Amino acid sequence: MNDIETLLRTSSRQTLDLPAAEILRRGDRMRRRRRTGKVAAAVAAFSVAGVMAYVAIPDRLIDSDVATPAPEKHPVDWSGEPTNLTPEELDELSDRCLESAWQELRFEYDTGRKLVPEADNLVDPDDVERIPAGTWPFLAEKRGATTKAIFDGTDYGVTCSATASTLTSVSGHHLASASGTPIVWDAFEQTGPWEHFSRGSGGDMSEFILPLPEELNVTKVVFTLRGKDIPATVVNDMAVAWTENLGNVASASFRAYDADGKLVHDEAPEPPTVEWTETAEGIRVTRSLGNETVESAWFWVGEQRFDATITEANVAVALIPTGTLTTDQLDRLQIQGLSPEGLSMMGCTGGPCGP
Amino acid sequence: MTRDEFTEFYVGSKDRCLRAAIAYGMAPDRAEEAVAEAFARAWSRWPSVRSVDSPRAWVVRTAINADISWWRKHRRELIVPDAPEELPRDDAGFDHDLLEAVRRLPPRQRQVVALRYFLDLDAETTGHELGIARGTVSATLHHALKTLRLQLADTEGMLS
Repeated sequence: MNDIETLLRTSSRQTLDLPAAEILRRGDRMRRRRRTGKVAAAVAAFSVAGVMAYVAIPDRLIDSDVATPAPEKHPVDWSGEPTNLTPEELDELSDRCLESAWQELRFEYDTGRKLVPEADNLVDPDDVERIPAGTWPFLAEKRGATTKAIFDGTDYGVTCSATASTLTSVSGHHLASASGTPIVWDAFEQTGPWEHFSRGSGGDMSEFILPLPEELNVTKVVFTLRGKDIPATVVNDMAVAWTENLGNVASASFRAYDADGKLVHDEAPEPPTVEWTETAEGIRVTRSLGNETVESAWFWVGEQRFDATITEANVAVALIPTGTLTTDQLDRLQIQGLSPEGLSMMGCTGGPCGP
Repeated sequence: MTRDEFTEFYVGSKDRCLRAAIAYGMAPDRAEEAVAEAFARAWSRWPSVRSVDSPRAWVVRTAINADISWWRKHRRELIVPDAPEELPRDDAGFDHDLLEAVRRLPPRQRQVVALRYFLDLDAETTGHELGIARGTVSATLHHALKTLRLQLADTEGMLS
């Protein structure tokens, strides 16, 4: 004889036979759909020693099969070699970077919510999967006075750096200053596969990060800057490079190859630059206009403007009397022009467009 | 929070949640899909769901809400019936009769039985879930069990 309560507790005829993997896959898809509406302004600032660049991580990194990486057991450095950090240092980096990044994620949400209560583009910390404590970075390296690391998570990533100061150099321990910055996920479907190319310079280094579209099976990437090749390391579906400070890297591009060596993305042609030379008649300034149709063009620096003529070879040329500009001003000369339709040749996105 | 943690939760709760949803009155075929979808939704916002009083109750409530939405969308002239449809006969057996008897209980008794026995919640959490006092949970349960014993007394002589 059984009591009704026992029977209720042990009733077992109805079972849900869907595998957990299918539930996880559906849940991941739901989360992605929710996130899609947020991404535009949710892309977090990625700081390279004070220089701001922007980066987001592609959708395929949050597919269910790779959504929650196991704590990385074999981090590599920016050359693809095993990291030069000790397990204890990786543990400390993990503690400090993940916690500070999480605090920043919360801070950004709280601040954004206060500023714009109705904003729908904020990442709610209660709605994302926090990177588990103790997770090691997949990239980590100590180089000179700087230690850098990148962590991967389901809903966000973390870049982290620590730089030895005078104080920490004395103590011989600088990881205590490590500070993480969250990178919020984005979807390639929304942005195109190559639009998250991030690069920046600051301090004594330049850094390049390029999330790779899975479907192209990219195995080799070479960053390029002013005609110089910078080999990348491909790890965790990202191409990365960490170099000495290369100055302005905004014009950097890249070549990407698949496993068969086929070029799947070619570098964008470097934009023509303004050149100047001293001549007997004065300073001759030139700038190729390429294929652009420009009706009028001029060079400018500060408030000074120098009208140019356009040659048959479609080159803008101006002659500036010697002594009018300093060498520094000559180096900073920029071109502006108007198309036959009256459109400006160079964009005016926030910066001066010339007098 | 990890996928392993959620997977453990899913494996340990899926059948209970399905039975609770059916006991609430959902049709078994729709309950399977609604509960599966509710679990997926739970995973998509697991950091929030895992911290509620009872994630299992959250799943069942979400499944019920989804089912109500489904019902309203497809049968606009009807509301969710107080008395659910009979369970398919291919589920015949004592479990079938037991579940059928639960589904014939008044809605509040059905809910209390589902939460207390199928989801294995304590009286406090059950009361919290339903927005009623713990004493009301006990009283409702008492009436429900009494009804069930009467209804099932003759079923294969299994009840004391």
